[in-house]
Amino acid sequence: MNVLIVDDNEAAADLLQELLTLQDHTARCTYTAQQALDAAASERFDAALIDLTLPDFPGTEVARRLRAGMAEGAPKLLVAISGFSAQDAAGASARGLFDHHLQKPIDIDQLSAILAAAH
Amino acid sequence: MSIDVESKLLIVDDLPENLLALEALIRGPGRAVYRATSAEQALALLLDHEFALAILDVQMPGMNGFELAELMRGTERTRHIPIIFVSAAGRELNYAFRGYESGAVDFLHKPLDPHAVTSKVNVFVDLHRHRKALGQEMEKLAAAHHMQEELVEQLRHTQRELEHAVRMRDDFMSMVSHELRTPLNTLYLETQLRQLNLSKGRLESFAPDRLPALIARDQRQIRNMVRLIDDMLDVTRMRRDALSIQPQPVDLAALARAVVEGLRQQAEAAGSVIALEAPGELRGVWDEFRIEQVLTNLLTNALRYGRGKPVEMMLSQAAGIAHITVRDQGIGIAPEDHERIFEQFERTDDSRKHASGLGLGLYITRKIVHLHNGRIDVESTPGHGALFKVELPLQAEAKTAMEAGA
Repeated sequence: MNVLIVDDNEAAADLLQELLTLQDHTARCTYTAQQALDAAASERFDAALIDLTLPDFPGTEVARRLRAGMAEGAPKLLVAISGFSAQDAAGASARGLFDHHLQKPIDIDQLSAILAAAH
Repeated sequence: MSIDVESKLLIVDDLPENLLALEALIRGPGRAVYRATSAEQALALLLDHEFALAILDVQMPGMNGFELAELMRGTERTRHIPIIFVSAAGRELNYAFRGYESGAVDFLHKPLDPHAVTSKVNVFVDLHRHRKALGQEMEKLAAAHHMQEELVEQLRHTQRELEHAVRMRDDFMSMVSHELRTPLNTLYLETQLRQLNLSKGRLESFAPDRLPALIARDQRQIRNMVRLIDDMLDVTRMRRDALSIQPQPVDLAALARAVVEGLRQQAEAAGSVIALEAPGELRGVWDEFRIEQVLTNLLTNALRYGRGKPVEMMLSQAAGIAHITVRDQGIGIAPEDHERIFEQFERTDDSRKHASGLGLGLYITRKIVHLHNGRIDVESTPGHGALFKVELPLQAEAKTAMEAGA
């Protein structure tokens, strides 16, 4: 799968990319919401891993715009990643918008299972 | 019902000897008798006193008793005073007195029957005392009711405060957990990556030349977590006013050199350097551990928001005060935020874009400085860096946050 990653914690984003690559996926790292949207506009992704707290605008907004552009080949699988749980107030707005919610720290096996199921 | 009410009685007669005789009949404990020899004099007294009863002679030169009574009935203040007319029997009964409906009216006839006078007066005085006592009881009841309402309002206020405190604590826990998960995530991803590399036999990622960078990354995440936990505990102590300082003789210059050296790697990682300008030694009495926290917080902030430009720390001493300044050339702070950045959980929008954190560093820093009877200020313009200035009296006294009023 080709995976789009957006997380302003660059170390975490880079590590995720490396992990996904080791698992025979391809991945591209972005660190701001705008970078992620630009990447999605220029390249086709099967899935997007979106951090909910981004410096320029919220991860939910990235998801909303990706969903709106779905017909033009935006990623079908959207996974929220956040320090907050899906039940927490900060995660509430993400409900319904994402296919999955992963709370940090991220377990790579869990992520792999989600990607494999969507394949 | 306690009746300790003084009843004032007004008697009006143009003949002083009649007044004396009447007063002798009606005076008694708990009563004050006021005499007037004319209606005009009576009106003056009515302005100054609140009477339980007025006894008016009908036949008076000038304004007579009925006319006086009508004036009394026409004024709100005197409208309800009971009136007893003293009249020569049968002589003035054809006078149409209006105003019966406003208050009690009775008649006594000359020559006065002492028994009739005292019993009538007693009835009106008792009535007055009871009404007064009732009024006092009503006032007390109203006051008690008012107090009760105030108490209920206080309780509601306390309840709101408690609810707010619980919400704050929940938010705090949620925020701490969120902030801890960020460095934890990086660490956990690192270990999972190593595990995967190991299981695939990719040992080149563990090559000796790559290990220092790996270790440095881990240490950075661990330091972040330790700092978060320390901040969280300090803030909890400050809330309970339990943060204390234990001043000991300290060489601030040596302490600053050690702190700068300890941050050298962190500065390198930020692409920056810290220049320290300090005298050979700067001795004072402070809590060394807490002052180290102040220096570390200010320098760490300067590195975080300093855009990789050099950071300067200067120490000096003048007039029993140690001066510490930390200057960066980074993103700066808008004037409207200069006060807010010292409050807990306050972070400027700019700072959020540049680094994660709870927004506790400067709050803790200021508390510590205040505990040392010192002060901290900031000068900054957005885009042109920030200058933090700390003044510490050379001698600090051992105290807790409560005593510092901080």
